[in-house]
Amino acid sequence: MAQPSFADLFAAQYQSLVRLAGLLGADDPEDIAQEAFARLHTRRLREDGAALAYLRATVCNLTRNRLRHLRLVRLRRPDPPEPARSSEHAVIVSEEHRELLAAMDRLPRRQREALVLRYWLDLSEREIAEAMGVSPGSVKTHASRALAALGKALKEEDA
Amino acid sequence: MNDLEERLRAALDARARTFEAGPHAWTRVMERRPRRSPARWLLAALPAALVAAFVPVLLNGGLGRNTATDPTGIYQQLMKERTPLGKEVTVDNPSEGKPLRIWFAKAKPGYPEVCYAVDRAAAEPFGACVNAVGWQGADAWFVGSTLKDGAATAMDWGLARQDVGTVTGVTKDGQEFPGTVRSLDGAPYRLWTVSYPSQEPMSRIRIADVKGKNLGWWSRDAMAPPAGQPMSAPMELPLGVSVRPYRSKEGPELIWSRHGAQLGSHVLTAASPVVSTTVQDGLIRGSARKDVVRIEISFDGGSTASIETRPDPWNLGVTLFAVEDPSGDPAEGYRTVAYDASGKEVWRHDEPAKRSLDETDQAVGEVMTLPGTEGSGRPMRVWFREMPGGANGFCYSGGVDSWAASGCFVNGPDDSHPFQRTTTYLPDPGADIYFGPAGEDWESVDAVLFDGRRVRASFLRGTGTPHPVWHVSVPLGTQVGGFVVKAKGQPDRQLPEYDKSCGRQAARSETAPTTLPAGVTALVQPGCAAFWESGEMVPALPGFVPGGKLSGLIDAERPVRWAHGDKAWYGYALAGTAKVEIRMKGGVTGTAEAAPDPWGQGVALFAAAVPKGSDFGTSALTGYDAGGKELWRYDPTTPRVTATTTPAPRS
Repeated sequence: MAQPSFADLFAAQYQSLVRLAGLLGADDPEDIAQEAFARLHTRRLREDGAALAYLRATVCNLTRNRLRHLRLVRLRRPDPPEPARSSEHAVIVSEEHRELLAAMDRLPRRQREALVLRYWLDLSEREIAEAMGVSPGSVKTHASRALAALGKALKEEDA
Repeated sequence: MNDLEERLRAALDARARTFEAGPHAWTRVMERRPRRSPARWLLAALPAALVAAFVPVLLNGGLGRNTATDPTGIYQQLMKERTPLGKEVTVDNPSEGKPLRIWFAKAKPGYPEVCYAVDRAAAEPFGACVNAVGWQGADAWFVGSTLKDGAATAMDWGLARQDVGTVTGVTKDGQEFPGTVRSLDGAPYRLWTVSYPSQEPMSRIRIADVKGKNLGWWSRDAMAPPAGQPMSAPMELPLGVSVRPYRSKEGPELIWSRHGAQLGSHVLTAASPVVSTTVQDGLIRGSARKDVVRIEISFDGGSTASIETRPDPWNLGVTLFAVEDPSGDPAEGYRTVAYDASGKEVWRHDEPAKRSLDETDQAVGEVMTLPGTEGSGRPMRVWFREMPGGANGFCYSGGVDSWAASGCFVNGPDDSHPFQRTTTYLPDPGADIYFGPAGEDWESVDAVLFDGRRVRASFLRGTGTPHPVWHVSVPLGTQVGGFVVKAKGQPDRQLPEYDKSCGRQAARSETAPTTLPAGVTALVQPGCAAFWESGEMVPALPGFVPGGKLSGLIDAERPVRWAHGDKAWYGYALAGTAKVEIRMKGGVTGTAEAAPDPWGQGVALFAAAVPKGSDFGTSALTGYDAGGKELWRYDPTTPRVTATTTPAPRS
């Protein structure tokens, strides 16, 4: 099986990884995607085809760490500026999706990751598990709980 | 798919379209590589050893009276397609009271591996071979451990570079246990062992050279990342695989390991599939529902595995398994069929092959074989292609040192001179081959060795390629300080050889480092400007090529080279700079005083404490002279005419 070159991966996946970081809630998705590629460039991956999985997992990890960092910063500083992306989304994303996306943003991080990886990237359970660093069984759990929570949230808001 | 799922998909698609990639992303990725924080640095140094495939022992291999269930049989099985490299050593394994055999071998493509055979008091012996190509940036590192419950004493062991004299085990609370460092005749690395009480597990090793000079430390976490609270004793599976449950928020987490080195983890939940399988490290391992007694796996390539599961001893309601992966390709797709005790099929699942991309379909001109790599077992191929944004890219793929030997870099801008290195082990004694795209007006490229000697590069031109390619071969392990490029009518240009071994070289220097503010010290060497923060090494910067100066690495276009650690930011800038200001993405600013370097390198050195609230994601720097006049600005977010001049990374 052919091994992807760094440029192939960059050309094919950079935009997608920026969007993945954005969907996971990163305040600077480009920064996350660039960091993932920079790390990949210096890393040795013996297994063919592992690079894309590594990139996805790195984006998930970096975004998770970044959100954790931002939460700590916000706890220390009472009046933080909102991430610039938030207001932008409110305008760009149409009204029909806003309610659902707002509910998704309130999900626990792992559940949100499982939904994005499954419904936006269309990954298999094995690939999602690799990206999240959990077992395939956990993926099912996170995704089903997330869907249940979303359904409940939407019903409550409709009520 | 139900309505909610459809809505979710549409909403995610809509939101995703609001995140656009910037036009300078490629350059930003190239630029940010050298500026790694210590954590990133450590990650980047993750070696082949960590991801190397364990070579499982084949049982009952028909080798006369020796079988793979005795250490001699294990040795013979492991060495079937390997050649010994140096002498074998037998060390006392305090956990088993039986000998542990360790030896080096040459894998089929010629790279070194370290192999071991563990004889056990109450279980079958096992063995494995692990890639022994050194961790970049490490002087010594962990390979295995005999640590197990019930044994009073444990022993960790690993490899060290030839000039390492002592290795000391350090526990979390700072207790130290002296180690033993052995040389094995003809082996590429030294072998270290540290014995310690099992109740006081080691957290890292402290490393010194043969003269006692401190070379730094290496964490045990790289071999066995920290886990949570164990729920019970580990369970032994075939092939030396051990699995142990730990508490986690999501449910019991099974951590899989072999000879102390973690292979992976796996969380059990109510929604776990009937069979959870991982194909990795030459093993098929995983868990299954408790009624599953047999699993048949058939790979797309035709190989099959028949697995008898074992019930877990912890009453978690699962069965567990570990067998050899017969496919040899972890990306291959496979079908899993599970059977209960009556032989009835209870589950089946098709796992698709992992996707990959073609490499050379967009090549511009001929795809060439790099001279000197033809007999290496996996020749290095080089070609040009169009990169995102329309620039020319120079691509390479091959070599025996895995993923890092595949990549592309931009070849468009005139002052961008990226290059790469590949190592060949065959034919003996091996070589380091440096190569990169050349300009049409280049007259020569010289590799400059640490001792000042020069080796002239050759040029290669493929049919229809937009540029020539330069390449130069030096004997394996030769220290190259950089390259000098001579182009028609232009001054010589220095390209430092700046790799992750920079810090290792600097740590061995007899020269005292220069003290800068904020607890930073600095030392310049050929190819490497090393920095320490309170004595701990932090990311280094490019150093001069032997015969050149640091001032040759900066100019009006690139007036500063800088990096940061946990506590300080530091670097060097154009001569005459007296103050450097940094402005970060979130508006945080900082100032560093700069002073002429004491080495006669024609630059100004600076360092300052990291300002509070720093986020170094993208930072702009401004330099001022002693009178407060602005001398230069460097803003990586502003598109420049040229791409980075930083050389490509080393594998």
